[in-house]
Amino acid sequence: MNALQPIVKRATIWLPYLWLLIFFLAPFVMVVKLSVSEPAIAQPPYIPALDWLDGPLGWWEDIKKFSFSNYTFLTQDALYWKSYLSSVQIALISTVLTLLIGYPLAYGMASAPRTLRPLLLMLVILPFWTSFLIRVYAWIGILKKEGLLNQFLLWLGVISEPLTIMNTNWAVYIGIVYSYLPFMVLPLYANLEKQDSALLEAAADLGCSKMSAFWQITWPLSRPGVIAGCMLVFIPAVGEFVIPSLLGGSSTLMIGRVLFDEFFQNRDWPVSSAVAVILLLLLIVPIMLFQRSEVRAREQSA
Amino acid sequence: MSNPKQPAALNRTFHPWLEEGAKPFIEFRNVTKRYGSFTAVDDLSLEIFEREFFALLGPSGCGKTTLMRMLAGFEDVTEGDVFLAGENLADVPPYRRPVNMMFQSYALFPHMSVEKNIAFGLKQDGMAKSEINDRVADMLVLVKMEQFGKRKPDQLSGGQKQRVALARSLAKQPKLLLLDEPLGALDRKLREETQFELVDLQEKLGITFMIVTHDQEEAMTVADRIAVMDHGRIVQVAPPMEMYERPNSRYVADFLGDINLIASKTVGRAKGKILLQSDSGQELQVTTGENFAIDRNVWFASRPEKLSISRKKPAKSINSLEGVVWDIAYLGGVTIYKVKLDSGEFVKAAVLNSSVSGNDIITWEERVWISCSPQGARILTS
Repeated sequence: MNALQPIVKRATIWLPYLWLLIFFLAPFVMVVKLSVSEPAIAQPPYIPALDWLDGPLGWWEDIKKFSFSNYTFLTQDALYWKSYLSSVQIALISTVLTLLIGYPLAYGMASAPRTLRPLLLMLVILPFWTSFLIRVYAWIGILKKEGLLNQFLLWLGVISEPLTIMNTNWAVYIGIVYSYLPFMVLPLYANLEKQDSALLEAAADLGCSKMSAFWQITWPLSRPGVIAGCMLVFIPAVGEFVIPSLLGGSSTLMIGRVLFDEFFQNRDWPVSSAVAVILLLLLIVPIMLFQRSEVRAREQSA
Repeated sequence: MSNPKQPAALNRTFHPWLEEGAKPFIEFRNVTKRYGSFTAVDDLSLEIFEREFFALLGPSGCGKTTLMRMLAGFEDVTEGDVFLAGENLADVPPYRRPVNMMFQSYALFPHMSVEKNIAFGLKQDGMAKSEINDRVADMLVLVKMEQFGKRKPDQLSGGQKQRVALARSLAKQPKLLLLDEPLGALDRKLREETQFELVDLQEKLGITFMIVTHDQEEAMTVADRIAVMDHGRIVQVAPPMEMYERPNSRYVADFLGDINLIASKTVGRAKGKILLQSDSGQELQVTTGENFAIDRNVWFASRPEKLSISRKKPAKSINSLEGVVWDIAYLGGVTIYKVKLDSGEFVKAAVLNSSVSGNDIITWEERVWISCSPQGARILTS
């Protein structure tokens, strides 16, 4: 038992790495390999760039033959960089909107009576009990020209002509904000709920009004929650496919749709893999830079 | 039984509460606070004077913290009025009161450096930057934390945090400083040192201090006057020595130190003394200026250090009771003997260990005489 203990201890440390290795790194290596292959009319539709059977020497020959034409192709067609840019833009706007709605929601939950909080928390999670796809479909019924929203607004007399929301970027924003709101609310709630209420009392005691105390105490202390929530919304939103294809119009450019079309319509696996690799780099590099600056800031204060 | 007394209080002639027509600085007038059906503060009236170091003492849940939070503005008053320097505080929000509070948890802002924490209150008032810097520097010197200005709160020890919290609450030079169990998180040695520092600081700054504590020694060390509270009411308000020597009830006597109580009945008067008969038939005498009706149920009360213990029957046999040593607690400076009297009651006697260990010390199961001079006892009626 004692002899086993260090091994067990080490295993518990390595287990998450093993998990990442199998379920993240390995698929990623395969996608990278695909992205440097040549497309072909075959089954599967590409010529493998690296044949595992070639042996070490053969692998070197293979690597020398890697084709980067798929990547250069992405720079030649404006569609791709426009899609990337538009994806980031849509995701950014949606994230800000989600934060604007999610923060007051989480704040309200955290300041609700203690007995009420579990119920409120459950209400936030409740939508997950229905399929994501069905919920997005439901928004078509609400947003379309003769949909519930337009009918309601016409009945109220706010508008005289039905609004065109469906198949515009607005519909995509609404869809993303709605779908990802819980991912914003949950980390914010977790942060705000554990903030010490004595801090606000201390601020008031030192002559700080409620509004001012929020901006000087609550907001800066909730920064980790804001960052976590924004990451959880922004990252999946950039690559979102279902919402733009169901709610968005033909003018809604998002990289998830481009990737899907490349893969299933054009059957160009190598190019779609290259699109995916660039997307990953696009997301991972800023996150890593951000984390490094965080670590440095923490070291400086220490 | 240690009974620490602040030496300054003994020779200081500061007792505005005795002065005729002195204006109170803080006044609670028939204040009641209810939470639903629970009454935290019950029709309480209290006057506190300028430059006083006032302690609210009581067990948890007695309403002492609620009373303090009313002054800070964190609790509203259900009934009655609170006045500060003649102004009714009812409609003054916390951030407009000339009162600062040091919180039990310190409540330091974790994302700000020590300097920024101390400067926080000054910044809210829109003080000029150079002036803020000067004041912060002064405060750091005052609490001996000059080297720690740039640190964040989580890089400080408990004692250092306590100092920063104190500096922050003093930075605005409030008229009244509230201290909510300020030393509760410190270890015993540090707590004792800090108590004396608080007293010095209060005398130096001339600010009225109000401290909430459940530690009787702490209250006696720092305070000019103590209010003992129970169930939302004040049981007694008095300077430490008076409260210890002349408690007005068994509750106060027991809360401040240790007390032996023997249930008795008044039977007669003689030369400034009241004669009692204990329920078990013993005759007892107490010297007192007060008058008591005859045949009234009362308690003969005496502090352990006022009892003496001996093997032989004392020559003066007044207030002498026979019994068996039941238990002994050797505390270093004193030894506490718990004696079971022949009447079945237990009493505690504290004996000062003034000489280095005698061989002939009284030990377990010995028959002893416990005696108490009539001046060393009091009569309690409630």
